[in-house]
Amino acid sequence: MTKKDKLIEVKNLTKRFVNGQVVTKVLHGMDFEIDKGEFVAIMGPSGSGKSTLMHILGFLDKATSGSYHFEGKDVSKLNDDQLAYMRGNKIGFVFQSFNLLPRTTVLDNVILPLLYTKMPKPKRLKYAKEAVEAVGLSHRINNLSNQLSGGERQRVAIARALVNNPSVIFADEPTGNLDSKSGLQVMRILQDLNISQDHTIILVTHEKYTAQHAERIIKIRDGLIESDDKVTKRQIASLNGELTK
Amino acid sequence: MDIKENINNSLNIIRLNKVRSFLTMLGIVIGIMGVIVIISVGSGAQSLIINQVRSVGSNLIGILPGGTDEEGPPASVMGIIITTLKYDDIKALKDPNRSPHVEAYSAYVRGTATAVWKGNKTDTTFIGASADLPIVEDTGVSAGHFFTKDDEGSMQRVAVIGQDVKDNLFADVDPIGQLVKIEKHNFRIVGVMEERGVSGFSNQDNQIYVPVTTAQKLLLGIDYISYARVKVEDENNIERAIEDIEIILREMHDIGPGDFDDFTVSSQKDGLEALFNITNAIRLFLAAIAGLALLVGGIGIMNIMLVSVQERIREIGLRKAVGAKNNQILMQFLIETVVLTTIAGIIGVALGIGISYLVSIIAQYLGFDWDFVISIFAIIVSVGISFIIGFIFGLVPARRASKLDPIDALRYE
Repeated sequence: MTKKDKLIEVKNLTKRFVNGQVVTKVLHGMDFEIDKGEFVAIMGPSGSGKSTLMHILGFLDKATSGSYHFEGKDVSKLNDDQLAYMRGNKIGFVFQSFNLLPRTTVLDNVILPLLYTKMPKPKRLKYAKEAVEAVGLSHRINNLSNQLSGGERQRVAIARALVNNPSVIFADEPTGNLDSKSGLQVMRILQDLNISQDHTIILVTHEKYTAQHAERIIKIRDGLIESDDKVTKRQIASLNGELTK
Repeated sequence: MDIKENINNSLNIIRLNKVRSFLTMLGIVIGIMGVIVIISVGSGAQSLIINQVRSVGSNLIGILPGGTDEEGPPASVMGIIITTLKYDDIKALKDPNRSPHVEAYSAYVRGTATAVWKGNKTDTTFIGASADLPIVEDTGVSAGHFFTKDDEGSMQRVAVIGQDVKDNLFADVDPIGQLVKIEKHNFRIVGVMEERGVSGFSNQDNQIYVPVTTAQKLLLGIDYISYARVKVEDENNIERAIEDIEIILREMHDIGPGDFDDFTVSSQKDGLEALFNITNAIRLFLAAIAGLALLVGGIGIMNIMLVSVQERIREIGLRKAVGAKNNQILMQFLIETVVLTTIAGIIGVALGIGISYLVSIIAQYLGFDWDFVISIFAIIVSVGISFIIGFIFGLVPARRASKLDPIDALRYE
């Protein structure tokens, strides 16, 4: 596995929010790089700026100053439609609260990102079915989203994040709303995607245990990077112990 | 996502929110239904009036008091009383030298009264007419005879009654020769009309015919007539007969060269045109009122769609997070509104046709000469208008949805 391809390069990144007269500084200048195929956890207490950072990295928000290059491209130069294109083709999101379309089948939820691409219909169906299979929910493919358990919903969300074969998957507190067993299952899928399929994964969490499933942890506090270390004792969520590096 | 998928998607969302979708559509459904019913029932009523006028005959000339100018038909058409047309004017029209094509004439006045015979009473319409009415109106008596020119000339108190009047007052008694009391005056019945049926909105069998002179003097106390009809011996001579009549009437009324007529002479064709114009104006007016309902319905739709955008903020945020462009969100909501209003329009058209059909069945059952008319044009326009309403009133909510910030939308609780 080569880790020489730079995926994300951030230099002196800052973010300020202006609300009327009040200016809130959230990110105070960050520098880091993430390579293709990495599994990085961004960890920090609430209010540390980790969500804001993820929004910027995920093209949902723009930095106030500093530079952000994605696959060598300067993101600050992209317009709204180009950002939408990046969201639709380069990344996948997994949210804490799943954010599935209510009363809609698993298949229709997973296919959603492909609706906004130019992909022909048969191909969309094929990819969506593959993604559902990858998270082990083929037997549930025609169930409505509200008929699923929390763990199953999050796996649907992962399938949705996978379906466009993204360069990176952002997972924002993916286990936050789940019991420990379901959470473990979700982490196992993410690790599997990273290890056997070489997907780049950026995990945002405030839990140390969850963060230790990654191979590298960037700790954030008050808008600054506190530490950036390799995980020494990595947690492997695999139940059969086959996942090793 | 192309248009077809967007439409399917909209249909799904409408299906998922059945009650709300139904309530949203209601305004448009009612508005479109109103437009269709008004146009169709209006056409039916128009056909009724026109069939009636046509049935009177095509070689008739009508004479109304009051002149016709650029502003339209004489005021007497609208029921305004003009007293300039006299019985003697009409009498002068049958002159073998000056108006050779006039075959017969009848002057008319009319009113309502209660007719009494031996304690039996019936409310009826009396018509003061000329002795030639059977020729002019192409009808006749079933018993006895119609009153004569002599009766008309000497103001005799004689009457010819319609079938319903006979049934109401006399039942099985032979009415010929009996005295019937109308407005405190006794009239001797000389004849019974043949059955004539319903014409327009009046029952022609519930009428009593008396000499126009007698009606003027005894029953109404007036010296003018309401209108007159002249029968021309050949349809092809109508234009010439009209000219002859105008010359005679101008002379009778002392109207100098260059002055305007104070009467209107028109053929069936002219009359039909005037009727068309009036009834069309009424229909347009009513359709405009129904159009207002559509406007209100459109505002209702906009309101619900704004609420819907508010409710689906997280969905919109998610769609943007997975790559939807602003324009794609705009299209999604716009198409959803347009699909909604177009469905509403189609339902409205269907209901409107149903109601119009019901009205025509009932009208025909009641004996009216009523046509069931549905214009394809009205249907296409109605559905088109629904489509346009969806587009116009969907634009504001759709724009609001497309402008949402994805992060705010995702975080929205």
